[in-house]
Amino acid sequence: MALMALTTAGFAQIPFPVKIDTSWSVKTVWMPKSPLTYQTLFVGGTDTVQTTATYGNNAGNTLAKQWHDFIGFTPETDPVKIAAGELGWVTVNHEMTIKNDRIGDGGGMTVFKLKRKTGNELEIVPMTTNDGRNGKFINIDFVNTVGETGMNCGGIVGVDGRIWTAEEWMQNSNSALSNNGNNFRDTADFIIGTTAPAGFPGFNGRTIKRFQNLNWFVEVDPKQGKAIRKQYNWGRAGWEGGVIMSDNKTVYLFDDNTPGLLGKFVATTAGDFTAGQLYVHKAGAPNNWITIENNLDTLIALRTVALRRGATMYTRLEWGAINNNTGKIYVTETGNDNPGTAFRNGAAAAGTIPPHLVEAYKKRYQEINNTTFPFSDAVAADSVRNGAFRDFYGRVLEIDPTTGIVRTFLEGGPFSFSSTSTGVASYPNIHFSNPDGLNFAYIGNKTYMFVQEDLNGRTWNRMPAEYQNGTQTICEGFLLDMSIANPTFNDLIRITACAPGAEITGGIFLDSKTMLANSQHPDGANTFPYNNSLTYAISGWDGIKTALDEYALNKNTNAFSAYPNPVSNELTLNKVTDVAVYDMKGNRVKVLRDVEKVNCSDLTPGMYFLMNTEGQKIKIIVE
Amino acid sequence: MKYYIGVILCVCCIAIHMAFTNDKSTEQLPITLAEQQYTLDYNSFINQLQTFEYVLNDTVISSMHQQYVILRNAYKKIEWLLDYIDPIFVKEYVNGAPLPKIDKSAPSLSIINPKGLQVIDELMGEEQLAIDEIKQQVVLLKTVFHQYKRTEKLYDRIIFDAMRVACVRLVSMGITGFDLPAGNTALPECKTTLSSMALYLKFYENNASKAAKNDYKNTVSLLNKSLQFIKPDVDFETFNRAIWIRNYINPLFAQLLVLKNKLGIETIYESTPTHIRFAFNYEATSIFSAQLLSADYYFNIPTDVNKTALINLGMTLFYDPILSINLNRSCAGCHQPEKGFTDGLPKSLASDSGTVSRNSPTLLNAVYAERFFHDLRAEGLDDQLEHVFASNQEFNIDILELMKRLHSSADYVNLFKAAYGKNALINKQQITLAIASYVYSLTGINSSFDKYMRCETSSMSNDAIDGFNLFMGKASCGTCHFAPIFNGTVPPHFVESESEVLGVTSNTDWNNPVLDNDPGRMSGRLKEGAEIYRHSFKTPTVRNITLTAPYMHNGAFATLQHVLTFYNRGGGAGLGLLVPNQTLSSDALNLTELEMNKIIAFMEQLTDSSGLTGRPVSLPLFENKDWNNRPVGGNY
Repeated sequence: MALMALTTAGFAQIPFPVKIDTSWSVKTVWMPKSPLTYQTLFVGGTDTVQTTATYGNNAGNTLAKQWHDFIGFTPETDPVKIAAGELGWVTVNHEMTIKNDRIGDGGGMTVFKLKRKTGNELEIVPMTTNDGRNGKFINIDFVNTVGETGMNCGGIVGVDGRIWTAEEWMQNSNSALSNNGNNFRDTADFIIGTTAPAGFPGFNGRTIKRFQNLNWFVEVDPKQGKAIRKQYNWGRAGWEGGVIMSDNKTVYLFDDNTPGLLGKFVATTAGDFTAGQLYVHKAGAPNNWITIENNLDTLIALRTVALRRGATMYTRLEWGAINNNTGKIYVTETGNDNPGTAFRNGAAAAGTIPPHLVEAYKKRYQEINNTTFPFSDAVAADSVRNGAFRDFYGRVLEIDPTTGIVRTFLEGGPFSFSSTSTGVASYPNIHFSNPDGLNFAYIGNKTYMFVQEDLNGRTWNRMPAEYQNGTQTICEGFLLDMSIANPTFNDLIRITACAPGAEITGGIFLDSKTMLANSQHPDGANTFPYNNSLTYAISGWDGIKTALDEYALNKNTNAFSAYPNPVSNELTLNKVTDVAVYDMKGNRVKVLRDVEKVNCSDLTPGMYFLMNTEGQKIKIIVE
Repeated sequence: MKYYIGVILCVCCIAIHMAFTNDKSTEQLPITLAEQQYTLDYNSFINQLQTFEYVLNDTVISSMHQQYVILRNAYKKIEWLLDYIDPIFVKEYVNGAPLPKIDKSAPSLSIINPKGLQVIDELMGEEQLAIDEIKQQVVLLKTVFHQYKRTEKLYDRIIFDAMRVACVRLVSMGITGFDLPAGNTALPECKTTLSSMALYLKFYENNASKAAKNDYKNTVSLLNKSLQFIKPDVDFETFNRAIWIRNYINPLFAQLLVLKNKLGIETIYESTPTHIRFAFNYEATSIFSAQLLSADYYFNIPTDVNKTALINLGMTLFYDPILSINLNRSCAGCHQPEKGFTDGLPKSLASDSGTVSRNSPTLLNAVYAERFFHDLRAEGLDDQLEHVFASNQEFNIDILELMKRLHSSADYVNLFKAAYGKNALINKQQITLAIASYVYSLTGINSSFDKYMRCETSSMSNDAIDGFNLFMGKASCGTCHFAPIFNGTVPPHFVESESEVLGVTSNTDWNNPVLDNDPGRMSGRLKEGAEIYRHSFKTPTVRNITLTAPYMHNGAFATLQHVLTFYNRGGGAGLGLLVPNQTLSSDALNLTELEMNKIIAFMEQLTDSSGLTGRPVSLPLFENKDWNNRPVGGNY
């Protein structure tokens, strides 16, 4: 009877023996080494940056700040240097606020210059600035230029590698800014334009509160290691990211807030962003945009003003990028578990609910109630406004620059995949939640979106299945083949699962070979250097094409079989099953229940056996 | 009465379902039965929420209270599994503390109002029931349970691991009334949990009949005895928790592991990628031992270093005043091993003049925490050092200068080589890792209390036993100083450090109380600069408390009698001060002098610094001869 139950019950479980005989001769599967290689470039708190004279100190050096976030890249243009392998300047944001006598208070940014040695290997070459600093890592001087900066989070890489850093964490008072002098010591009023060249046409001489001098985009000069100006005319908000179109005039701006704004700035003259027109997105308005006048008081209070004029309310816009093939813009909307009060306050000011959230809410309603939403879209919008839609997973949005229409490109989730009535759950192999970093990779003739998670929480199925038991948050990085029409989360290919507690940010492709990424704020208990903020290079992307193709080709059989994907270091099984992994001596080392993929990244190279519930075995060789 | 029909129907469904389950039990796997039982219990809780909502429409207050008890029992049947499967869901939506908290996922300061069963409990404790508010909470819970999808299938491993975690939850929270801010049904609810566990355990009877027959019998026997020990007329204040834990729950915790292993059920470590670590050690055999928590979860020493040499290097640095700019101070100034790694002063002496702003906390068992400093601003043991180096009241040294100094000592170069091998760099990271590793090594869970609870000693004084029972019961100490570490690291998963607003006064003049003005956690981290954290401080361990006077973040209370009196009066708010977000109840505890002394007698049994108080005999030599006569530990 027990045997019958075993074969009939869909989710039968037997304990796998602790030890097995390994003398069987079975099919062998090779798990090749990943084509991707990792190289640590810049470690916060460990590497030394060259500093300017600040707070009574002469120019000198000190340890770099931490909390790496955005990565900017400014390509080298000198043909001689390019021929010598020099790639360009890498700028790294420090998303924090802490006082520092040599770097300056608040957050900051570090720049270094990269050179390709041979193959995948990179090196950092020393650089010299006009103010006489020389070294591998240069601190970008904000103190003596634009009046310090805080929580440097996202940013923009413009045409010709121009770099803007964004100050995300919204500040509303000098005392919050100061935090008893731990974060910012200088809370005196700020006068715009007293420190050349940081002034701003039209606003020079205006006095603002110190906290009002935060939460702007700030342009920096990576080659000289200093800030150029705060971009007052783009408005003040919790800016996280943005993109500049190839016309070198149009800028899209993303506000990380609930409600968050989608901004647009159009420069009068290409390349000169000190004059132009600012807009804020409002779905349904003429051309879908509302104009904002270039008035400093209005710009300081941008979010309040825009909501009052009916701006569309997003749930935390993060990073965006342009698909060079289509010119369309993609931006992550990371989501918010508790949008209730935030939306209600925004709506009270007249902010409007975006159509894509209405659609998402209606879909959720159907999943929960097994019936379509019976009322009008206006009623659905009311529900969203009242906080009924908990946006657990977020999504990737697509902006059509010609029409100003914003639509969901890739919805996060899934929310619903199980039935509580039977108690059976098949946990999704791919689960896409709270996207944050987003960029494009052009590999061979394919275009991939690289999108990184920054989980808002661990519950509501946001963690990968094999990490469910843990108490640490694991964020994943995925590739999406852009040739797929109407993609879903099932089309994502997992590339990385970041160190526990860490957010992978800044993913930016230097070329078809190398991506730079940051591990931002890892669990302090990780081992060095993974317990620090660090910038690292992932190289070998030009070699992943075959791996991905093989992976796509080889899955179609009923016999117990496994196919290796060296890029994600996973074996894909022919079906969802319980498996145990045994070492060469036949000792049980892993037991995985209801899996379709076996992650081999924690298996030391060697021979293993994989056994399923029916006792069938496969030999695996991990290289 | 129409609305009762639905309820009756539901009850019928359950009865039919149960009959069906029992018929098939002979041919179904234990986990299949567990799945069915859990689905049944989960839906039953939703039904009880529904019923409670109906009853709240009625006018009979007594039936509301009756149904509330039924509802809580329905929850206690699933809590031990649900909270194991998805603790964050439970914390955020179901049974979290009834206090406003910061939305960690929001990009700017955003406060979430409390919701769930504990809010309902507070409301049910009011004399005039706020029916609408209760109903609002019930509807919220019902909605979220309806929407919530189980994220994981049950496996045999989960059933057994969840039962073992439940043993710790019962000991550290269940018997203290932790989740009953107003109610007094904690002990009957412990019984409900144990009964539910017994039901699930029974599903394994057939499986165990061959290889594990005796182990199964022993487990069932311990479970039954632990149930019987809680008498139907049990009294919250007089229940002998010490004996119940020592004789039944702690042995049950061990026995469940034996049974699980005999059944061949996989471990959590086999089911999870190896780089995922757990604070809870799933192989521990006693709740009152250093085994229970993995210190390596909180502070992980890389595998490519020599751990012994690293701790030795860290110990040397800890006692070396070379770390301070004027070669005067070492870590051991404020953290003296003989005083439980404190300095015996209300506030530590600043290196220039005057004092720093707070009391020096013990380093013993400090590793068992998620956050550090009284205001919780640092995230890891090694994160703290930066603050000490940078402070002009402490070491006041640029780390680059310190690196230069250490490089100039052949002795230190060798110590770093011994620890880090060919990777030795003498940089900030390696210096702080070494010192933190020494602090990590300062654990001692072998006090006379631990030995008594592990049955290694046969007795403890009656006063101390009474004191433990008071600490965990009437005096509510254990609802914040969680057993078995007795600090604010929240059981049973032990991954979060708590802070509390107590309204600590600046002196012990209880008749003219003055609120201490330190903003605490509110001025710790930028992202926590919220009013709810004003005067909020990390909950320290009470282990080794007899070594660490004076007490509180400001050292204002010289004796444990002062501390107990302060709590007995209901903290700052109880003394009549305006403390808007006090998290400690302002009600008097009504402890007698004798009871307070018994609690102190218990805490006196929590001392264990054995083998941890040695100082280095000498310090490394430097080329600069002037530095070589610096005393071990510096001057203080």
